[in-house]
Amino acid sequence: MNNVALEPSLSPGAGSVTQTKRKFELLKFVKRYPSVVIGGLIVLVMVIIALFAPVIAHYDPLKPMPDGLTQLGAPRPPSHEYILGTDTQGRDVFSRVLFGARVSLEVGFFAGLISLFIGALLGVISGYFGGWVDMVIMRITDMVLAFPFLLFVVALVAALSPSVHNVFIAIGVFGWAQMARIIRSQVLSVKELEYVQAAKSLGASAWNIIFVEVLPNVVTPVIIYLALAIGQNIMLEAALSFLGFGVQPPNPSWGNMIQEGMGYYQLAPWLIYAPGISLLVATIGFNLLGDGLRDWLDPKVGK
Amino acid sequence: MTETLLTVSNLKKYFPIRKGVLRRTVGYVKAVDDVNFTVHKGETLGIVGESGCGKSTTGRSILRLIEPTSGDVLFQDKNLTKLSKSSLRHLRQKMQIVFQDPYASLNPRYKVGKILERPMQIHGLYTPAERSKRVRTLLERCGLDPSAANKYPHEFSGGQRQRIGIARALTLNPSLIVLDEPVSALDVSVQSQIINLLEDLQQEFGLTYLFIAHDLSVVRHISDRIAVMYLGQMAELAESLELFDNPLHPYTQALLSAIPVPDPEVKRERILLRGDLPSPANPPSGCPFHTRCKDAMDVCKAKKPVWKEVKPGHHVACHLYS
Amino acid sequence: MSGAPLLDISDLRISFKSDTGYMNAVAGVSLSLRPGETVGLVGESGCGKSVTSLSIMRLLPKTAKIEGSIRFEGKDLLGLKESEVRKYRGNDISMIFQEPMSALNPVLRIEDQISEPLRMHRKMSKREMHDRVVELLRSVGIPRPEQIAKEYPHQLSGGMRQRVMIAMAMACEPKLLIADEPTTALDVTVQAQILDLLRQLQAKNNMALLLITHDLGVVAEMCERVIVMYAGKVVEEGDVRSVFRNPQHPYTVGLLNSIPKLTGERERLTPIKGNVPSLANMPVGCRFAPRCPFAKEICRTEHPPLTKVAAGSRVSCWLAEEAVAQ
Repeated sequence: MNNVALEPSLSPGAGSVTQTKRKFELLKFVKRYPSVVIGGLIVLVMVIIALFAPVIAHYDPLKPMPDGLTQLGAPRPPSHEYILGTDTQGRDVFSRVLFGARVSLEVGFFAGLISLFIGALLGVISGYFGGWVDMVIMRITDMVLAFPFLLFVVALVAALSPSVHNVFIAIGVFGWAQMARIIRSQVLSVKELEYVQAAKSLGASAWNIIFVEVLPNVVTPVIIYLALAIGQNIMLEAALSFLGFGVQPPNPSWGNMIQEGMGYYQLAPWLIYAPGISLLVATIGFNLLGDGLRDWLDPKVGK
Repeated sequence: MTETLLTVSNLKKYFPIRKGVLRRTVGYVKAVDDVNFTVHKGETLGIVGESGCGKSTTGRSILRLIEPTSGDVLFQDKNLTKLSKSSLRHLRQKMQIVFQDPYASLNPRYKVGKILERPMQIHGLYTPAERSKRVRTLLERCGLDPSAANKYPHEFSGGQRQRIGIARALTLNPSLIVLDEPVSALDVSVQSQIINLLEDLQQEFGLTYLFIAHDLSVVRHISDRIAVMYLGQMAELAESLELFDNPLHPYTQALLSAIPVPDPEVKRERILLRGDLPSPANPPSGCPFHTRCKDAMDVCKAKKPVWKEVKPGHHVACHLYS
Repeated sequence: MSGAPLLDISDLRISFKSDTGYMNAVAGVSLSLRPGETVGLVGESGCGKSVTSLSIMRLLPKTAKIEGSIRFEGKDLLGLKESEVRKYRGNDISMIFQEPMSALNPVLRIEDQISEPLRMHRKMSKREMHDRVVELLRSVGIPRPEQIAKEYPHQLSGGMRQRVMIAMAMACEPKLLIADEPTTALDVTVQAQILDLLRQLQAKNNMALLLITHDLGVVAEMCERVIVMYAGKVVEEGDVRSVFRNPQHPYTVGLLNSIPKLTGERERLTPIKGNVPSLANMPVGCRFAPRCPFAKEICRTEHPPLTKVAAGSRVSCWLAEEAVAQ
């Protein structure tokens, strides 16, 4: 009964299914892997927001509104006109949150890609070739992991001057170590499989084997980890911006919005809640997606 | 008249045992320890032995899928152990391997057609059209429908996958195929199909087989000659029927007597071996088998027996015959 | 020959729920064992032999749908509550598995593993328990039992682990031992040792042995009776001599012809064509019909009943059916 492969719906040739059956399968999928669906929806919404921020936002996120402040000069609470209220300078908080999503995604995604690139390269070399190469790469990885990550990023950003680009470069450059380890361990297990041995016996060169046989089989765990890493990077970007090393005012980022709103916590709590909750939802979204993908795609985790 | 295709001499593979933070080498597992034999063109040489005897390591060291520690492997007048990586890759066309596990030996991500075309691509053989034609011909020759090329490995049963593995080994027109337990993972009824297929292919393409297995009845059936290994060393080598009718080494005798016979009316005297297999990291002195041997003498503990031809074509390493 | 059966399975049907519906792993199996008897249950992967044995121990997952009856000393095991089943398991009925490493708990010492069934089923003092464990280890041929009792499973070889498993199974002197491919993972010389041990223990304790295996050689050496299964059904049953000498079912014939001979000239093997059908698409009619060289019209439409062809032997085949009718 083990031969009845319970392949996830990756299997090809499942094209000719009727409409009702497809609906039924979708429902079953939602029931079986709710976190993929919920996480995926959150991420999707966030991507749409980031892409269409200028269309969705009614106001300029950088310009104080003429009626943005009350007569006493205080921020306006959420109202029909300003859904999430205005900030201390009379700017529309909703628009700023939308544009903040852009920054978060940008940093999360590109930092993830940078660490993926470095991590994949080093992890594959380390895992496939082994020996002293592996030894050296892994010791460097250990060192990077042992350093206080945030401190390093802060130092690097400070040295490069704070900006969105420098934030994701810094996060990416220091975030590869975990990725390298994961990829290395995957490569180690895949390279012992007989089809890799078979390719070797057919006369394939090392890099040919890496690209054709090994890499396609480590994609799944990498995607899973990438989703989790993006969530983490979004948090980090917020922390950096909060500390003043990230996105510089007046440009909005959830981190610097929280920082700006901190002083007015009692007077205008929405200044913190709006970016804070966005941050929370975004991180949870990516984490759910990552965990869910693991349940779905990785057969080693019990079903 | 028998032409030699492969000569293995003094082949050794020691795996270092590393311990501690500095990964210092504290000893060696002597997986293959001074193995010598030749394989004639067109024959099937069976290598048998129990798990840990080094038969698989021998097969893989010959192909340099594992780098041997020392020794020479002469294949078509070239010493494989001295060959550069690139000339070795080129020569791999002529020597192929079929693995035990039909589930692990095919990359699950690719369609069968791609898996079979890949070897030809690697070596730049044939045009794309010829390749795909060849794939279909080979699939058919190995008892599969040519449409199998458009399917993924998981759509096939174990026996069918092993046919695919064999077809892949044939794509490059090899002269030697190492068969590493090719039927061990298969059901009895399918096993015999694969054995017959291997025999047919050998006839048709003039192949030479190195057949590694632990199932003695299968090895007896398919091999012209059989080598018996124990703890990384050769115990005995003889023609197939000769070895079964007239085993000389006490280990071979015990091994053969242990096979359960599928005939309830045959009752045989069984030589039960004492104790467990010693660890290959710490093999006994002298003859590796002396700790469990019913005929052990004093000399067996002290001196390693020489590998000797005691009858024409019948080699044995045992002090009883020296 | 007479006497009440120890184990009596009748019309056992086991199916598992899957995405596409129920998959019939066992489709109407009947068999019985007398006290002290050795019966071999043979068949290839997916024939349902392991599922059958697990159902006797009530070890199948809850998702399995089980119908029919499994009577042990007259009592239907399938009707018992979980707590009542536990009284049987490891006590009157024990089981050993193919993979001794995964069947032993890696963090428990050998002594603690073996005393587990004793703790559950026997009232004993610590001292008595220890003595019993050492005695059991000695009885399964483990050297230095006092010392081995203190070791962990990973410190032992495969053959030794299987001996420990057997010692554990023998702890409460069961009336029935189910051995599911007990020697498949072992080397042939170790297999010989283990089979020898099982034979000795069985003779000493008058224990019935249900030996599940794919190896016809093992069956020929160990068993008095043999039951051949194919695709969830019993196709042939009889005493070992007559089944091996004069097999009735084309599948049994095919199996016997598939194994290379150990003596005499080497002849070309005559395999069974095709592959074992998957659970998801079982042929209607006789499940062997698509691979059977003698299949006729009726074989493809109706499943043949298990018919008695001689004393103690039954075959499920339309050809045998005809022969009996004539």
